[in-house]
Order: sequence, then structure tokens, then C-alpha cells
Amino acid sequence: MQKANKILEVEQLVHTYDTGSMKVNAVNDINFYIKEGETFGLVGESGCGKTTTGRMIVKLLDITSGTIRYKGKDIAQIHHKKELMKFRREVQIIFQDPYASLDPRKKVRDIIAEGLDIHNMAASKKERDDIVAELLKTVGLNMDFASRYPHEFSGGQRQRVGIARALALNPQLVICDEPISALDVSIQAQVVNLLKELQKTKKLTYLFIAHDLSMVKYISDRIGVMYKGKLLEVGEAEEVYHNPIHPYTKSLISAIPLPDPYFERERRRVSYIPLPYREDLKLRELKPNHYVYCDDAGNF
Amino acid sequence: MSNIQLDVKNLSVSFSTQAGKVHAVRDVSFSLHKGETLAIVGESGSGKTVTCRTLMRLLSKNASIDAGEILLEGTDILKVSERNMRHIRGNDIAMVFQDPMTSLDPTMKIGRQIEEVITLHRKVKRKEARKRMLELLQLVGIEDPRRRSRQYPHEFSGGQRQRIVISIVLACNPKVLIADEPTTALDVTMQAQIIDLLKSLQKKINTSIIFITHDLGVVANVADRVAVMYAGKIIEIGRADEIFYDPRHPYTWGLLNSMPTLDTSAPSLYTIPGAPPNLLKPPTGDAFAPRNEYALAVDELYEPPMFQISDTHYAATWLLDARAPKVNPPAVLNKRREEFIKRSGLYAES
Repeated sequence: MQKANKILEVEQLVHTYDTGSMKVNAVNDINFYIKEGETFGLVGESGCGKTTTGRMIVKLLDITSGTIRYKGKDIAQIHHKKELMKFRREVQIIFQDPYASLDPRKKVRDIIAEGLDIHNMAASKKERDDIVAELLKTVGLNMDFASRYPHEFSGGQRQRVGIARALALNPQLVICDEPISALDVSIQAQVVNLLKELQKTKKLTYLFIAHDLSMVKYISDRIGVMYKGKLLEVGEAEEVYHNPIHPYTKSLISAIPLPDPYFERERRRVSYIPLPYREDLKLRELKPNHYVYCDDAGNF
Repeated sequence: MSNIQLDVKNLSVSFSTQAGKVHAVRDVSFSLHKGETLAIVGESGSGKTVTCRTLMRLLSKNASIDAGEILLEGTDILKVSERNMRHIRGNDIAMVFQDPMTSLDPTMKIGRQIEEVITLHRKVKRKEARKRMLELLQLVGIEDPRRRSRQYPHEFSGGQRQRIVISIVLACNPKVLIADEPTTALDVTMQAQIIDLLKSLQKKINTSIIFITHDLGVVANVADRVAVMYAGKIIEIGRADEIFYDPRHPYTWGLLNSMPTLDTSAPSLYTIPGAPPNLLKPPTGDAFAPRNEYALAVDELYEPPMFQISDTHYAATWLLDARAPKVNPPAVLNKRREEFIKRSGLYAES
């Protein structure tokens, strides 16, 4: 792969939730970058901070400390209305739950066109309808669906509406926050195919957040593995899956269920017991482009 | 046969809705042997959850059981009075639901919730129930049960909550345990732990398990036998190795094929075209025909019967008829089968 520009750089990112009685570092000093046109997969168990990271990138959550740079610019420094609008157009998010992320009282047309209205991107009602029809076609939905309500659709169809909404503003970076976890296996494949195809035709960059490792491996160019707010391993998808270095990554990979009873009967799961936190642990490049969270001597 | 724990015969269930009658389960028959795990797989809306709720007689008011019988060790539980059914629920058949968030009472300490079940079903004193409750929590792997039993559901993680639900279910040592997508809301590591827990408990108390899921990876791990449902019918049933390495129904092929393995690098994943049929008016002929690339002319007219492939393996597709043209399953599945044969040759089972 030739050298592409880094569209997103995350440095020493921290997010702290203050519950009143205690402070939780949901994201604790993570560093990674995403190159233009690639898919970066972020995997980890629930509660590891992957969604929090995604939400900070789209400015739905404030950054406690550290920086996120989008196209070289610190997103915390985007205050000016015009700049902020531009950022919001270019960075979009697809949410996990297609049942909760669509307003039940709005027609599909208005859900998809909401961004167009806010950003004054449709000059007339006709142009607005045309754009919506085009988007519905792009995501493989019937154009008549525009005047229907979300409850009339299945989970897979709703997720397509969510994708159409994210695409409406011609974004460059799309955060996919577990877009397939709530869907059936056969529908998952459809949505993943759609996302891949859109990436090709629209030159999109994805941050793909999920806990389903086989799907993430399939869709991603590079992968980051998160655990309790820390990024433990980053590298090319093939490399991380076939030569995992960190014990947590090994345990995750050993737990992936495969449709193969013989394999499942013989499988040995590796369990992971985290070591106590030490100051000298950080993400180090152990192999070219393969980073692992460890100390100087390579201990985890 | 005494080996059969539960026998479902020609079960049909429908729901009356404003739009008409929805035929959710259509002529489903299967049996569950003692101590085995039967997995039921299928897309959402294929009738797997309705089938199992019927086994518990937990259907909503607009549902009607149109035909069939459910024999639990010889007694038809569809004919049992509601009063007696209450005794069967929990004692004989128990169910673990998909979402552990909603199946526990958020306002009640979890210790009380478990004790409640014990005192309801067993005539024991409070003190004894409490002792049993602590044992159960220990059994499902909750650390420090004495302290944790005084906590509320929101103080537990998703995986721990599911463990608690399982401990409630186990309070009465049920003969049949129905697990309705118990791991869908959990991530892979938790999922693996819950499955291991269920398997080890099954060995200990020798329950039969019906495991509902749409995740074929999980099925491969837990199931002795697998039933594939589509549009309210069982379209293929057999031992796990038969379903995974020698599937015969094109729908099963599609399901297996649409799941990527770690070696999948094809530019796009296989998908089954189209959507499931509307069960308001089930189609004549084979319900899967419009989505089936191997569909025959006869599929449009007549519903295929169950063809027998082996003692344990049945599938409902006209492709198995002697007059049908020979169709090979997708290449990927053939490859998988060859690998299996190769391996089982290496590690020949006794």
C-alpha cells in the first residue's frame, strides 16, 4: 500500500466518566491513526471504551485530555460555527441499534434529509426528494420507502436507512459503531457488503467498532485491540490475527466461535489474566507496523 | 422410547392480528433426547422463539395453538390445566431469556429473587432456601456470593446477570432447559464463558437443552443436534456434523456460507437474496423457493416433504427427490467437508 495521508490521529486520548462516587477512565491514554481510504477496526469486549472513543471522534463527547486531529487539525479547537458545520458534514456516525437511532415519529425521507436541511444542501423540495431517492437506491432500498415510518422496517432495512443518513452529507470519515451486532447473520453479510462497496465508490474511510472478530478481520485493513480503556495491540488485520503477540489478543482470537463442530470440540481457549498496572507499560513497535502494549523488555 | 424427554408433534401456532392471521409456526415436529443439546437456528421471524414459548405455554393472548401436541415424558402439556402448568414451569421446563437486563427485577436484591423461586417450588424454610441460594451463586461462578446476593441487578455486568438468571433456572433442576439466545447480548469472551457454564451444568444435572440462536459458531460449539427453521417450519434437522459438513437444504447452505471464517478474503460475502416470506399468507409450495437459486418448477406448486438422508438427518427440499437434477452445494462448503473427512481420518474416533 502506498503512503496515504493520515486522516485521523489520536494521541494520548483520555476520557473520564465521573460517577460522583468514583472516576472511571473509560479511555485511558490511547494512540492510533487512520489513513485515508482504509478501514480501521477497533475490537474489544463491552465496556472497554471503544464506543466512547468513537463518540469523542465525532464530538458527541468531550475529550478529558489528549488530542484528536482530523486532517491535521485539533478537533477540540474547532469552535467557529462554519468550521464546525464542515467538520460535522465530513465526519458521520452509524449507530449500533437501528431500533433506537431512528426517530419513530419521522418519515424515512425526513430522517435522511435532516442533515441536508441543517446544512442547506438542497435548494428546493424537488432536489431534496431527488437526493433522498438517490440515497435510498444507493443503500439498496425501494424509493417508495421514503414516505414510510421506521417501525415498518426490519432491522437490516433500518440499518440501511441509518447508512443512507450518514451518507447524505458526502462524508469522508464514517464511524461505524457496531453497525451489525444487532442483525441476523444473513443480514450482517448484506450490510457488510454494502459498506465495503460504498467505501470503494465513495472513497470513504471507516472506523469500524465491533466485538465480532471474524467480521472485523474481514472488513478491516488494520485493527486495534482494546481492553479496559487501553489499546493493547495495533497492526495489519492479517498480522494481528495470524501472529497475535499480546496475550489478551490471543485469548480473544481463541474465543471466536467458528461454524465447525470438529474444531469447536477440540478448541482450547486461552484465558487472560491482566498484570497489575505499571508505569513503564506503553504501546511499542515490536515488529514493523505492529504495536504491542508492553514494557521495555517486551513483557506484558 | 424412554430416551425421549420431549416430543413435539405437528405443532402449529398462529397469531391473530389486525392484518389477519400470522402463521408463525407451521407443522413443526421434533424430539429432544435426555441429556442432549438441540440447537434451533434461523433468521428472526422464523418461528424459533414462538416454538419455545409454546413449550412453556407462555404465548400472548392473541396466539392460538391450532394443532399438535407436546409430550413431556408422555403427558401432553398442551392439555394440562394452567394450575398444573405452573408446576411444570420451572420444575420440568425452564427458560433463560435473551436479555438478562429485562428478565431480572431491578428493584429486588438478587439473593431474594433466587430465594423466591426456591421457596415457591420447594417447600423449604427461608433459612434453607438461603443456603441453597448461596450454593447456586457459587455454582454459576459468582465470587463472594454472601456479599453479592445483597446487591441489585444493575450492580452486575451483562455476563454476571446472565449467570444469575441461569442460577434461578437451576434452582429446581429442570429436565428441559430452553435457552433463547442467551449469549446474543454478550461479547465473545463472555459468550464463551456462559456456554462453558451451561455445558458443565448440563453434565452435572443431566438436563436436556434447547438452544435457540442465530449464531452458527455458537451452535457448532454446543449442539449435539441442529434444527434449521425457515418461515415457521423446520427445513433441516440432523446431528451437528451432518448439518455443518453435509448440509442438504439450500437455505442451510446459504446460512453457512454467509458467515466469514478467519480465512475469508473474498471481495464480498455470500448473501441469501431477498427476504423471508410474509407469514400472513404463507406461500403455496416451498416457502424458500423465491430466494433459492436452485429452485425447481415443482417448488412453486407443492411443499416438499421431509426427505430422510440418514437415521438422524432429514431435510425438506425437492432437490432430494429421486427425479430432481443433481445439484452440488457451494464450493466453500465442499472444501469444508473435505477438510473434515481428512481430519477425522487423522483423529479417527473410536
